[in-house]
Amino acid sequence: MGDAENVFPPSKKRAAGRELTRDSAGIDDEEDVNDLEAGTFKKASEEVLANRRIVKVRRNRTASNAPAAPSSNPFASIQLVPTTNPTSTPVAAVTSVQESQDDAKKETVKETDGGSEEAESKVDEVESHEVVSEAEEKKPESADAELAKEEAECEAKKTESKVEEVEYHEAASEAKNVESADAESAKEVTESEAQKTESNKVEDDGEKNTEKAAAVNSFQQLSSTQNAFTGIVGTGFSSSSFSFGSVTKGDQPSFPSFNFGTNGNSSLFGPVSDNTEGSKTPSIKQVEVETGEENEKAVFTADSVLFEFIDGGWKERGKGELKVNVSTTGNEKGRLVMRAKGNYRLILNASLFPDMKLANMEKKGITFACLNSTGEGKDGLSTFALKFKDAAIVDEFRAVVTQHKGINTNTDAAAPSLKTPENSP
Amino acid sequence: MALPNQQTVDYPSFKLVIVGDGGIGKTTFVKRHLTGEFEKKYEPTIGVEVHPLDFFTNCGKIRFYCWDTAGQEKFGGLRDGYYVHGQCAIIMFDVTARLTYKNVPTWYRDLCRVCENIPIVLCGNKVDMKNRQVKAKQVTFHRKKNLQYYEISAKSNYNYEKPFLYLARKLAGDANLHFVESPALAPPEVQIDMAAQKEHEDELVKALIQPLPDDDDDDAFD
Repeated sequence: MGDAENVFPPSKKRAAGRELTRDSAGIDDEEDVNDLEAGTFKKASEEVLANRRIVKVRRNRTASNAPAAPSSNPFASIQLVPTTNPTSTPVAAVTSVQESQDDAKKETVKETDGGSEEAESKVDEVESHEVVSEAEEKKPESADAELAKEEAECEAKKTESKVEEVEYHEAASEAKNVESADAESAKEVTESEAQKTESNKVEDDGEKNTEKAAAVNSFQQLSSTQNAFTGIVGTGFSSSSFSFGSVTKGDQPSFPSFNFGTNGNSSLFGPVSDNTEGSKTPSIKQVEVETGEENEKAVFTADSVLFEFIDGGWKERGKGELKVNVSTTGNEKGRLVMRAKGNYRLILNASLFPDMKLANMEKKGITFACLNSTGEGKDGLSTFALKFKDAAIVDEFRAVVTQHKGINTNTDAAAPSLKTPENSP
Repeated sequence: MALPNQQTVDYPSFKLVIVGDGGIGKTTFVKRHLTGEFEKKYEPTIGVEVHPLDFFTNCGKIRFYCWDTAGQEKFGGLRDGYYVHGQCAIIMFDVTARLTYKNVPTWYRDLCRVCENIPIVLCGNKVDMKNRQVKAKQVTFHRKKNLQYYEISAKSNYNYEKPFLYLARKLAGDANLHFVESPALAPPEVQIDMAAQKEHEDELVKALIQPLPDDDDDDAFD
């Protein structure tokens, strides 16, 4: 991963004439200063070009996708801000480079060779950056998932910390290429501290556009290392993006950033992750905790094991503290509440009811039927059993439940459930 | 990561991959959390089973999608294909079977090839057993790899929530995160008719003659 050189076919590769090292990086910086005036484009000298690292981006392209209006305004499609809504107009290629610190000195020059399928964009940064990227479009021979590759090299002064982002948008004018959903991540890497990651995920939802956001990490004194990780292609399985920050070879400890752009339901490390679908997961922070028992008091508590009778056998439902709660607000309605030890999962939550019958089991057990409102159990009454530490607790439990299960069933008013034909006078 | 048929939730959710040799108790461990039951029967997992597992914390509710993978090689299915987009992992072994510990580095390697840099917990299961073969002191792999290690028992529930707690803390970036009681809303009133009552009494008769599962000792209250 990250070794972009390996994934380029050798023939397409314009190799750097020499490798940049810590010692030689400064030379290029000086050359760049003289290179350009803002707003103009001058072809760099052969010497300079030889020192540039050429970046190629390949992606699939539908055949009927007209090379979008290269004649009119080559800058029309440049967007400096990552868009989350893909535009519907065909755009040939957009390359933008953002630099957070040296933001004033930025120049983007885009060159399209009218109507051809190749767009080459060059961006020269007067200060110290030089990124040459060449976008190459490819016919969709392989309708399958295809890797978009991007490689960029950034030269940075040693003392500067930079965030650079290359964003790449592509709008395809065909609706059918579902497979071409490419997702890539935009990464921002700051050198001074742990990275912030941003992931842009693009899903092909049957619309016409595919957006790509390619990431470039800028590291200090990158020598020959490859630093741009290309996104993973959206396969049928998932169109989420997944990227790792490449490993720096510098002196500083590196914290490879990684992020997951998933289908909108996952957040890793809290608020960092983001995606284009607008469904953000809430960040993780302290919240109020409610037990649901605020207006109740426990009249009985004991450690117990809960079993449920299912399909002719007893299944354990958990161990933990069983409580008999009664409401403190007027009516003395009672209920059983039990949570598993450790994970505090609610395993029993059932109202006591006047007709509740309790039967002792073995020495330390007691069984009864109730309507457990938690768990995946069946609707309606289910038979449960509780096992306590010793028989004395069983008796105590029975007494408490009997006391709070409600008014005796003999009166019709108290037991409307018994108004059945058999029971009526 | 959610499967297409999984409902998404509006609270944080994470893909948790559980790996380890066959028969060491991965599925039992997950089931213990899901339903509370302790499954004694061994039915090898085929491929993978994914279960959502929710926890209430002082930072709100979180969900782990537990990818309970097959330990047995012949049922492995996609194998490390299941690890893709894993956000945290549990590597488990059986302290009563030395080989399962010996294989931990392999599981770790396979996992890390797919999921770089995710929080991982190493779990030695079945510590309730008498015939331990891997003593706590002999477990050293986690130190080399900077993993968290827990001795757990799916049977006695010893430490059984600790792996999840550790992972939740790591994922939230909050070392003070802890689990809290899940809310118990007021349950519905019970309205039974006589038919249901009768049915239940019949069941009760059957239930009464079935002994409660006895864990041959009273470690339930330890």
